[in-house]
Amino acid sequence: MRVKLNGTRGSVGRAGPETVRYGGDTSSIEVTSGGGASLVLDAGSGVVHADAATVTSGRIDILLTHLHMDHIQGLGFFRPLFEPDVEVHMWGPVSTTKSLTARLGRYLSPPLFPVRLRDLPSVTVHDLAPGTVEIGSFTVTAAFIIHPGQTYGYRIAADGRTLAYLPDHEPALGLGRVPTDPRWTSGYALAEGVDVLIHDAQYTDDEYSGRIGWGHSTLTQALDFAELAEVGRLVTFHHEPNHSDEEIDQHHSEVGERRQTSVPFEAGLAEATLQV
Amino acid sequence: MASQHPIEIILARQWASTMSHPIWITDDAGNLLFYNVAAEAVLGVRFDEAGEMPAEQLDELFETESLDGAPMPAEELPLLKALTKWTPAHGPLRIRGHDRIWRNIEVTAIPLIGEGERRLGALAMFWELDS
Ligand SMILES: [Zn+2]
Ligand SMILES: [Zn+2]
Repeated sequence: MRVKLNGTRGSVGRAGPETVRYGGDTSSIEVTSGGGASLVLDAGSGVVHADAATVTSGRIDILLTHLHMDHIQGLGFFRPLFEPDVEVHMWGPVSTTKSLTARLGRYLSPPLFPVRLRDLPSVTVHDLAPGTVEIGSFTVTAAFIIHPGQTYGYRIAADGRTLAYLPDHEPALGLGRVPTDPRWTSGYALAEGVDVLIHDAQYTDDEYSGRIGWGHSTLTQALDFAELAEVGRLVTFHHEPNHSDEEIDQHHSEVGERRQTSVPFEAGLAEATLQV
Repeated sequence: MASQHPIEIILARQWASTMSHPIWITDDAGNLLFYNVAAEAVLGVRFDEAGEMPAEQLDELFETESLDGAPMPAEELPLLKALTKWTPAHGPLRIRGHDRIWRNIEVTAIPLIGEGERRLGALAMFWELDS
């Protein structure tokens, strides 16, 4: 399984000389299995860098964790949506009040966007219930995780390997720290024992104290969560827009020096490709 | 290891642990998952000592009867109504915990139904009535 980080920035795009290495585009990754099938997870502005963005035929599956703008704003600029020979399947969290089509339609309609979702040639929208589905050669498990509004984390299995993707997640909400009991920890079932965990690490410890309940984690909390779930490797994600490349490097090395951790970790680089 | 609780239950526990009135949380089968410090005062046992408990074992923790002292069928308990009808339920009853003192309480039970119509459990809040 190959994972490409097409957009790593959290909350809002931040392009500039200070964000070249960790990237200025918002959340989107692409997972490709040995058989060549691929999945796009989230469609922030980074989705335009997906290998799938250039295809003109076949099938593409886009899995959305939630509908915050930084995870869907690239949708309208993702070329395959306008290709009549590409069968696009969009998946996202089910809601009791409105269908996913209706919720996505708030963005994909005037005045926010000139084209309506229903006018796209070949798009199927799936209201995904929590649980496990097979999508091509991937086994995809979706579960609600702590973040404002209905938000999924995903666990993806293919080729005997596993990846967990929890870009927006605040497992410390309430306690002020990540719980130590797996049964009482949001996201644990998704991340348990995965080879690679891609996880929110937006804030420093100091920043978190003023942003409790905003739905994000610190690097320290991401590491606590990764250790609890005994993952093979942690890739931090959803970088704070106000953090420069230099600050991200500095913070990761400081935390790495401060604590002994059993989990190797690194900050997700723009357009990095990870072999799982 | 038993599986992770859904976040709706995790968040309910986090919230309950900040409340000053007694709260009791069960899964969809009525198994006890959590009660808060205020509920410990009524039950006479700390949650850390009691722990999570299967529904059929709960009579070791407390007994109930109706306000006039008559036996109360289980299906009349607001919490069980919430778990069987999946609607809120409310009512008075008497409860006796480990300190063997009968207390008159009023209970409001609310079913916990997650997105995707998942019936996850129920939450009961209770208040002691002036006797
Ligand atoms: Zn986000
Ligand atoms: Zn978000």
